[in-house]
Amino acid sequence: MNFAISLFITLALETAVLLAIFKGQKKSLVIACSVFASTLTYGLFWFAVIPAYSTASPFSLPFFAYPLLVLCYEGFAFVAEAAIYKRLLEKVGWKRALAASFAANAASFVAGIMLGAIF
Amino acid sequence: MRLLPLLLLALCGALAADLIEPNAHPVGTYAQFVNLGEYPDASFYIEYKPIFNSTPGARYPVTGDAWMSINGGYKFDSFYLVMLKPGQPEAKAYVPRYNYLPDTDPRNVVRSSYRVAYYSQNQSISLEEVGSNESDSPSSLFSAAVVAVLLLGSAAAIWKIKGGRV
Repeated sequence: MNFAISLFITLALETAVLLAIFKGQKKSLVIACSVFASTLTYGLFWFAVIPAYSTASPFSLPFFAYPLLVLCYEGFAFVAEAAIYKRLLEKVGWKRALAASFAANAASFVAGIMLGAIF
Repeated sequence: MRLLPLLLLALCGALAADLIEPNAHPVGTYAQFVNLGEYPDASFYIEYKPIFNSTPGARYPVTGDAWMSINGGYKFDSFYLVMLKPGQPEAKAYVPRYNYLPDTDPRNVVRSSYRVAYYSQNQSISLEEVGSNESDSPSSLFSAAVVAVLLLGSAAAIWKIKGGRV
């Protein structure tokens, strides 16, 4: 799928989930934090992880290499985005930040699989 | 009768070799040779070599720096740049061909530019890739611009909303 389209679907989904979870926060701050965190992790995946994987001749790698890479990246995105929410949003502890990040990333991951199957 | 399972297995292997890899899409390959003018006394051809045939296939003349199609035939067939110089044995260099790319790579066509180097000691040639549409495609520049705008915009918004307390 096209980079810009998949990024905007990710942003829309994750922002909607975060707005639902952080109801007491300023909406504009939640939206800005969501855009910042998701763009940072998604950009890293697109411009650093994927080129590294592609240069390593993916067809000669074992079949589990790509799923493992996606799992590692999703794990990193989950923790990094939680850290950003905890740092930037008002009165948010680690538990809530991790839960919000997990919910947002799970939503975009499932949507990505479903859209990938359709297109 | 005992050979039947083995034959079926061999058939499965041959069929599987023709499948597109998972998470991949087919692509076309084009090659350009940028310095053929440095060898005015030589003529150049792209030679198609089918894998299941020991004799060389068709030859297509290369003129100037035109983009040559490195496509067609079976995916394991090879393509070579052939240099013919009067009174000398022909020299060949393998031209890489891409059949599939991972879906993470948006290109549908791979275009590579090569410089031809001729070695008079052993009358051989080699190719040096001097450019391709891999690194500077407009789509990756556009993607980078989208990321930069979103990151800077959202960071500025956070800074403003929090009144500089970040």
